[in-house]
Amino acid sequence: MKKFIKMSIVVVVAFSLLGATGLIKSKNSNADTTTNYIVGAVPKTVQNLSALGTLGYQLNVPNKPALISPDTAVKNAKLTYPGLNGNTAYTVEYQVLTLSGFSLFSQEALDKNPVLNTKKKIEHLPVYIITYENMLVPIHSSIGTNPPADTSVPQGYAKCEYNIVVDASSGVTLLAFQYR
Amino acid sequence: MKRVIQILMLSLIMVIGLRGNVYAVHLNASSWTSTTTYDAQATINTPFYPITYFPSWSCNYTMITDGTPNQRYAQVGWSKDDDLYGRTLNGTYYFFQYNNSMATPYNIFSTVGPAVGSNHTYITMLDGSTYYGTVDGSTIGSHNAGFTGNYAQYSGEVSDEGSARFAGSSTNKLFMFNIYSAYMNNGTKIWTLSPPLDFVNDSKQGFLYEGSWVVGSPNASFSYYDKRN
Repeated sequence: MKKFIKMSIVVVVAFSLLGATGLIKSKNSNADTTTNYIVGAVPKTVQNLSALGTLGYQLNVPNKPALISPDTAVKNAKLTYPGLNGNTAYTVEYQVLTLSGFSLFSQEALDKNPVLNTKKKIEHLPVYIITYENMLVPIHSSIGTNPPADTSVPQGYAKCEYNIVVDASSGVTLLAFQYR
Repeated sequence: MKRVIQILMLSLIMVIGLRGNVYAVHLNASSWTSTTTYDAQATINTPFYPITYFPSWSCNYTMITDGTPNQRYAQVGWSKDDDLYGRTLNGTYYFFQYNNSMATPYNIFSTVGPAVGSNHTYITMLDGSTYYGTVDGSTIGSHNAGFTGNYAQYSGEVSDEGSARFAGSSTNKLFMFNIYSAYMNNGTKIWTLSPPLDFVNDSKQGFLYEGSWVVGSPNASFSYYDKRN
């Protein structure tokens, strides 16, 4: 009987420790590399996943809630890119993003997310993607380029969407991209 | 022969520009490479952020392009615009832009840009089959290479000469230096410090002034300014 009690205590302690470790991990691992998305699940998104794939963007479905709210993400995006102020026509998605070929982070972005600071790249990072339609995107040119056919758009711009990426763990805006 | 082709190509570019087909205004220094261009590098000092009235922009960049007639390019640099209407990002940011004759080019912007008075090195590079844009060694963007170019260019550009100004004033010019181009020769990348540069200034209103330039090793550099600043 004593042996059974001892064993039970050991088992209970062991499970408690495992549970505690799990809790600690889940609290801090919102941006870890292996357990923050549902493997094989296809994201619900307004984005063109195929087009994004060719640009090096991969979206996955998060398996944990974001640490910050969508409203906070939008507010922070507008602080970073003040041109977005006053524009209420946007959609917000919570996704897990992998983006090869981007490492130009602000110091704030690195300081506020230890995982990002370690990796220095966007790899299975929980983010909000805020999409604004009918925006004006600068289109540069080589010398001698013909003007665009659409004269309703100001010179040197195209009417496109902007996608703003905000770190869903730290709330820091990371980048903006446009592809369509 | 190489020089003759170079001059002919640039003359063609200038003629097209003078015909009024441009919809943006450039100060452009161009280096032609005899085979595919692999790198366009320059360190750019940003003296101050230029005036840009909505809707217009002003920018500086390094670029690899195939020139006339396709005008395809990959470029990295900084861009500034202003906005009161919720239509643009509004601010000064690093960017990478890729345009392979697409209806909509690909753009990526960072959340930061060069501090006033600071130097930063911008490299547009072709690595394998991908173009990359880096700022001080950090990658801002990349895109599969849908074209190859023979020009490394180092440019300032504004969208609309009436609304946007170039950076640089007579006493505080925009300065580009540490200029490199690179091409591949039998599998070996050949870097050229201070390549020969051909200049094009297509300002129709004469606002842009090519301050000075030094061409040739070891310190190819040039500066310019906008007379309105």
